[in-house]
Amino acid sequence: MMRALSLNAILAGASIALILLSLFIGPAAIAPGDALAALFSDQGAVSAIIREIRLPRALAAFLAGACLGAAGAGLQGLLRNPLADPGVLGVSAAAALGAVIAIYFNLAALAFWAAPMMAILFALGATAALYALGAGRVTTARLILIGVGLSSFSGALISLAMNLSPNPFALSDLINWLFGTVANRSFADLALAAPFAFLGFVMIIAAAPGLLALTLGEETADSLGADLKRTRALVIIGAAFLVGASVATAGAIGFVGIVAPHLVRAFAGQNPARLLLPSALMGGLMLAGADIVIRLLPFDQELRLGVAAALIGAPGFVWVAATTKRIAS
Amino acid sequence: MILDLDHISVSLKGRCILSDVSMSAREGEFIGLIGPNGAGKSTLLKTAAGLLPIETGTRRLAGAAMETLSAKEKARALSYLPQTRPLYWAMPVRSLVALGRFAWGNPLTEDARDTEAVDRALDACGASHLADRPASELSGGELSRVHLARALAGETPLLLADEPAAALDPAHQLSVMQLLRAKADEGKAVMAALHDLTLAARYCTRIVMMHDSSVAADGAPKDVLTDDLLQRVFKISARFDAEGGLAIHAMEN
Repeated sequence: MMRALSLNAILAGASIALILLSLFIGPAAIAPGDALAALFSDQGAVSAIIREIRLPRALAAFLAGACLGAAGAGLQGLLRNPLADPGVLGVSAAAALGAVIAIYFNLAALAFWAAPMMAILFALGATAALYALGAGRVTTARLILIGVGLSSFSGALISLAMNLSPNPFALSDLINWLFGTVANRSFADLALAAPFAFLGFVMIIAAAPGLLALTLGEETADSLGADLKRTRALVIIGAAFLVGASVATAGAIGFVGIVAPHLVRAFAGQNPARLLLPSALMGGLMLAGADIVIRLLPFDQELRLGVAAALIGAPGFVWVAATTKRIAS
Repeated sequence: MILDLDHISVSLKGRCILSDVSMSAREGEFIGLIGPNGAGKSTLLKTAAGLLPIETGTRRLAGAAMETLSAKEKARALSYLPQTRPLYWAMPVRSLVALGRFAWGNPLTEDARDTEAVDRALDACGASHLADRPASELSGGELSRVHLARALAGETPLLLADEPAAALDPAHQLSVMQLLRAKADEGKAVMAALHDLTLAARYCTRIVMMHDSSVAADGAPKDVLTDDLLQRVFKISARFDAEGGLAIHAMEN
């Protein structure tokens, strides 16, 4: 218990430090001292840059990552599979499809919450389909293949939706949705996604006891007195809310949901319930960190956040896949 | 009477698995559930554990109709050890055994009563020295004892175990049977599906013999494990020897 508390404390401290650090980095050369002063008191143009450009961007990256980390940890617990991840399983791509449909068919103009809501609905459909097809009954390989199919299908539908859309569009928009970015995010964007993220997180946390019991499989979990129907519903809907919020904020970003829980699992005693909060914090740290790295890279055009996440995360995925052994059955 | 099954029928995917089964279990009994493969032993245990819906009949657990009990109330009255025991995360042994305390208090924290019960269960199964090892690193025999400790940690009046001694070497089989008998002698009701008739004859206080989805015989070992019944149900021949052990032979044609 103490170890879990200190793990969360360390991760939370690191998160705050990293978000502050990200305020010092950007095209405008602002000294760290000036940046901090501009954050806490009005310094005119400098404050505008720090408060309205860099802070929301850092928070958006953290929020998107935290959502993916928590969703990944929850899905892994429910599917009892360390390779489950919203990106790998195609949930993120489905959510992106939902957001794209909302935006390019003008639904977002009708209601401001249409894009996150559509992202959540599509994520919900994808998660429910995965659960119906996969949980505990198929091999990891097949689950991943189902995810690959779902992901490709959603990607194709996103292209199709853009072709059919009545609005003019740019290829860069497609790239933003499929590869993810948090550039130019505002507090308004954050305010739209945050309630869904919060709801999703509460649901995943509420599922913690059931996820713990599922360590021994569904039959034993049932006999232990765990409410599996409730656990399933909470994780599926909660993960959909989290992925929807993440995708609405930053587009589809892969691998955070798999790598973040994997990094903290040993420190959480391999416990799928105690893993949830540390996974969220670690996911947030990863994306906030990745967003700092892409701003430091000396490229003419900024690397997409999702590309950076994949550059780090995909080898992590391969590592988890190669080293995971089936424990017993 | 801790468990009372009265005229139970169960079907799975349209196939009748249990047909009009009646049986009960009292505190202090170690009931050996025997029968050929497919006779319905596992289904009977799952039905007794409340994990399967019944089509006809009534199920009573600790005096109450099972349908009226909440999941947690059921789990505080019985623990169930399935035949296949998946383990999806490489938890330390102690955390795994502590899962047996799920229905007691907050499932996510361990209070003093939980700690004592887990210690007792580990001790009873001779697994205390394994407590801090990752469960993924144990041998089959060790893991089997740890799962049994998990089932005992709930300290429920009824223990349902599906082949608790399967895939164990003879010494471990004997120690598991001894342990289950000791738990029955302490006042627990134990019902275990068993394939080893010799062990069942030696340790069980009562035998329920299943055949073709029904109870073929129910009573003291020497009354159930008769040559006549064994020939009919198991297609084997058997006889109790002078020391009370059961000797099994292939049937002579």
